[in-house]
Amino acid sequence: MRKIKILNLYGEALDLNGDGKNISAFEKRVAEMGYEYETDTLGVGDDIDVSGYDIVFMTHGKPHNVSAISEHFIKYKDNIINNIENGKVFVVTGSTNMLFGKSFSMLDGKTYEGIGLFDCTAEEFDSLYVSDAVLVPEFAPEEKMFGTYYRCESVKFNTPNENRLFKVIKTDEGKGSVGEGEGCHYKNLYATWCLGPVLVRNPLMMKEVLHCVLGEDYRETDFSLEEKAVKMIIDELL
Amino acid sequence: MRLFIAICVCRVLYFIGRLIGKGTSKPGDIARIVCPNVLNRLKFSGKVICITGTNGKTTTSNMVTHILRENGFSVINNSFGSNMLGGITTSLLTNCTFSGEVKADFSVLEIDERWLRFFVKEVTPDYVLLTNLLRDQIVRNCCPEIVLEKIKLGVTPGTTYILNANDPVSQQVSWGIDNPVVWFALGENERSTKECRSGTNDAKVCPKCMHNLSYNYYHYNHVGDFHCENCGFKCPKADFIGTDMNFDEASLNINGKPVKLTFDATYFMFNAVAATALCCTASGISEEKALAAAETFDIGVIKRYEEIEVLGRRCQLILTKQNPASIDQSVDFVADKESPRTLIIISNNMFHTERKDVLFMYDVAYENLKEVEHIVIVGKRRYDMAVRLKLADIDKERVQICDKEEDLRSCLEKTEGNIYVMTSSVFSNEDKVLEELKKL
Repeated sequence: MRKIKILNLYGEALDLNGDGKNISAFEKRVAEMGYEYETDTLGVGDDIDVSGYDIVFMTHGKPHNVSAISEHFIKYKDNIINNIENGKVFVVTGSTNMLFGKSFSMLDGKTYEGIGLFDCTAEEFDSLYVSDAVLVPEFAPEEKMFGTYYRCESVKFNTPNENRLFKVIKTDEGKGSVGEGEGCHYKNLYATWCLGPVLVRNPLMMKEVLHCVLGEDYRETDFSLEEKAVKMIIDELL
Repeated sequence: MRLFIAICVCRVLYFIGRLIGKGTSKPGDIARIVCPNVLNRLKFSGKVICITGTNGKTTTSNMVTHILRENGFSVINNSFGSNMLGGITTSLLTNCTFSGEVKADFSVLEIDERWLRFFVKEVTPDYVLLTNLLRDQIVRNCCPEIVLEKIKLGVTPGTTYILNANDPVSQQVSWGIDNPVVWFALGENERSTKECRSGTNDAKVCPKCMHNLSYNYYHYNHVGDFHCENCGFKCPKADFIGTDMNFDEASLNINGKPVKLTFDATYFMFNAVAATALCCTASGISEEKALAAAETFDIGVIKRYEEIEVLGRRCQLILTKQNPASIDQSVDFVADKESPRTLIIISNNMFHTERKDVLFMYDVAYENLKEVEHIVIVGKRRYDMAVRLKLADIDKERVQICDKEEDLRSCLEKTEGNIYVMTSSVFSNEDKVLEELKKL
């Protein structure tokens, strides 16, 4: 029987607003499809090699924790980038995306280096941007998803609208707002500044990631409850 | 003169506000317009105590007030008002002389953790008690560390800090400061767990070195006995510690001296240790005298757990605060009740903003409801709650989704046992559901 190997990278440090439940939900779907799974959590103090995993999750974290792990993460830049270039499935949510840009500066006045996969920089600010959002995913342009943003970073992409994961069709304006295009879909990397249980609440995204990991081994499971819940939200918003 | 006018304006507005049932912030806010830095102009004849933190502020400040009064001290507090700058200003200006003298041995002020830094610009507190820092309303506070940074901005020279030794987040207030610190803690007890049972743990990693933090036991969330094997960060030695808890009798020892409280919750015992630490340190009374007074303090449990009768069954309304730790406590409250139980969860959009995000659902350990026999979900976000319960492996046969409030009766008729209603000020329009319930 196929066993799916899951890596929750820095899962102990990056664990804010229910993002970890994306992994629980992914595990349940894999099990429902009849496959085994094994999940490792690696963090500061561990050597990182993502090559042995089917999927790597990096969830949303506190600004302090994201900056604190950056020094460790950057040491494994080559391993991370090479694996992404070779098609490794990555799901990155929330402020953790800053680690994949060129650099990010925090309120403590320090600037931290990212691995430079995204051509962007980020800057923390002293307030919180909050918004519900309706998103059209690049991988299913006829469909809609629901997203939530809580950001205290403004992000500047130098290559606007390249490889965006979502087209944002409804969101609130304000400092830290995401603009018309959001996230990044590069090879099998799915990165979004949406946070929380993005996969749990959006069957579209969960199916996309499951397809990506399982390929022909993908099996149908029942998403009717989740589909009803997300449709109600989107209908209220539009 | 401006001070005098501000005091008069505040008192008149406060009096009118009470007549028409308005809040207590506005008089203070307007007084601050009349006389900016009005608090700075007050003369305190006694000591100023601030009590802040995520959970337990109100209970602890009421208990501190009670202990001090029982020991013969005059105390003014803001128990009737809001805990932000306006409400505190109202409390002080309605309790001072017209020349601005606050004639009390102690001013015990509950203060919102995000507002402490503004208050200390005008008044230097003699003591600050920080109950804990937990994950709170994400819309306002993002994460506990953001609040921590705001509290650290309000550290004032000469202030003594009373800090929770079991909380690796709030204890960071002591880092890099020369202020005296008094530590309080609660020892291991029958409710302590080896694994974190709460929905969130904000200190899985050491705040100093980011290596995994080890716990000998948890009280709740990230509060417990912790240490870091990499850098040595650990619980400081407590100056005041609660031990030998007997929850059946609501009793414990504080620094080896027995006390029997009026409520048996873990957090209440924590509050009692914190209040004892503060009162003994600030007033010089003996531990015995503080504990004797603590024994007669009544939390007023009925306010948090109001009871009504529904379909001839006992129905308890559980009012929670707007944070996952508080909702976790409500979940545990229901989970610990006798079978069979019926839980109604009111799940709505956020506040008055009508935001649809319900992220906090995923920071609450609804997994602990697995044994609850019947769950009825109602409200705009009922399907989102159903998704959350599905992820928590709650048997779908136990869950009913009530699409209309009017259908509550038919849903409840399929259930049995006492009814518990989990609502929260985090949601909106619970009132409609509660009205429907009261009609049944």
